[in-house]
Amino acid sequence: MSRRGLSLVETVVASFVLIAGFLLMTRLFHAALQYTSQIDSLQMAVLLAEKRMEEIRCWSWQTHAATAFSDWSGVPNAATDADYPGYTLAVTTSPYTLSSPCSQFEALYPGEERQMTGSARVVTITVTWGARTHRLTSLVAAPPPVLARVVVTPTAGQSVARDGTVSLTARGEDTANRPIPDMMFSWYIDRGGIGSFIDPQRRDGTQMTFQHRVVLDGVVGYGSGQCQVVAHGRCGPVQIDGRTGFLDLP
Amino acid sequence: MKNQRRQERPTGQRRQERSPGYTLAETLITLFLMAMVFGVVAVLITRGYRVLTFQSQKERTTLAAQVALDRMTAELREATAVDVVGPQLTFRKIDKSVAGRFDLTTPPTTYPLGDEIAVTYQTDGAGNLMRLVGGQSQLIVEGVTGFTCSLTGPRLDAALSVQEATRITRLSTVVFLPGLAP
Repeated sequence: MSRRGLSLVETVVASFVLIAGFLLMTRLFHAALQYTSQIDSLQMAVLLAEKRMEEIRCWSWQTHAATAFSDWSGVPNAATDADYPGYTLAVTTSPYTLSSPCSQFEALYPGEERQMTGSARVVTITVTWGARTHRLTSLVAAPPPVLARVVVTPTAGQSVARDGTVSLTARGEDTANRPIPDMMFSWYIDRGGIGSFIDPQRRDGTQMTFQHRVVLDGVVGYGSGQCQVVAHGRCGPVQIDGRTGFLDLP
Repeated sequence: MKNQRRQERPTGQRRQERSPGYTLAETLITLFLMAMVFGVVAVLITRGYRVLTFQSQKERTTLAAQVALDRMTAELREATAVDVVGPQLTFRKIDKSVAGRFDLTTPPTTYPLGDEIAVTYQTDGAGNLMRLVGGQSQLIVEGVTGFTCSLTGPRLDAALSVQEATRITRLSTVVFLPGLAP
């Protein structure tokens, strides 16, 4: 059995191994601190981005009640916030197209999807601090317009000869007589429209063709008397009908 | 053969006869090195612990203030009317505890006044942000040095200042309230 003790070299090597272990532990300790600090900064960045997004929603609500929703030139885009020093903000916006009722349903009608181009805008806020960034993207909706009337053209009555057609359009207007974008209409013929039919030109119902002629089981028929074509518009909780003038069916 | 080799190396035999272990010099050098190592490591760990304690306290305070702001803003989105008087924020919201309130057989367009409750957020003068509802008082966050609100149209600005370790941190937010009665 050897009774030889440790040599100096062995002791120094063992000490270095011990030192390396302690240094590694200390490094991990500091890494944990660093990550804690990064999480803290990220939480502040999230709070700042949400604050700016709410500011933009408020601005849009107040501004676009009087101006077109497409005008975003005055969006709040200050690069800094006094309560969050060390963070830099950048705001970008771009138009966004929504499908109605949803893109999956509208995919069944390629080329003639019902789309709303003026009802929402995509807003991206980028918060930068040091070499890190946080990005928040959200849709901002247009302030809901108040539907005051549905205007159907032609407004004047007219006579529609047999086999004749009339092109009809419908639009909604608010209380300031401004057209409301992205409205959709459903149509029907009111009062004595037997012998005529309506043919939608667009799926959103903004254009319609009225024809004084009907074919049932191969038999052509015509109407007589008067009728009106009605466009039914709905905007939020408000539903209003618009009518053409009286159409004479000789 | 083995005996012959041992006899040829009398010096090695003399070394084996010495008692094993460190010399005094070796022990002193080793102790000195160990003391240096442990000294450096102790300094690093002590400083790290101090920073960790400070960071933890700072983070806890900030997180508490953030949670308080989040809670208040989330509740504000249910408000039907808001009243700001100095550092006191009072708003009314639907009382969800009323039975049958969300029975959709009757359109919930208007609510009887009795179905609403008033909620107030204010500081109590001792550095606490309190929530007062139905005669009860709840502590939302402590260490508050300032609480301000202002209402402009549908925009409510709220700011909360908290004592964070050795400094005061101010958190501010904006709440969009399109549901307020004009």
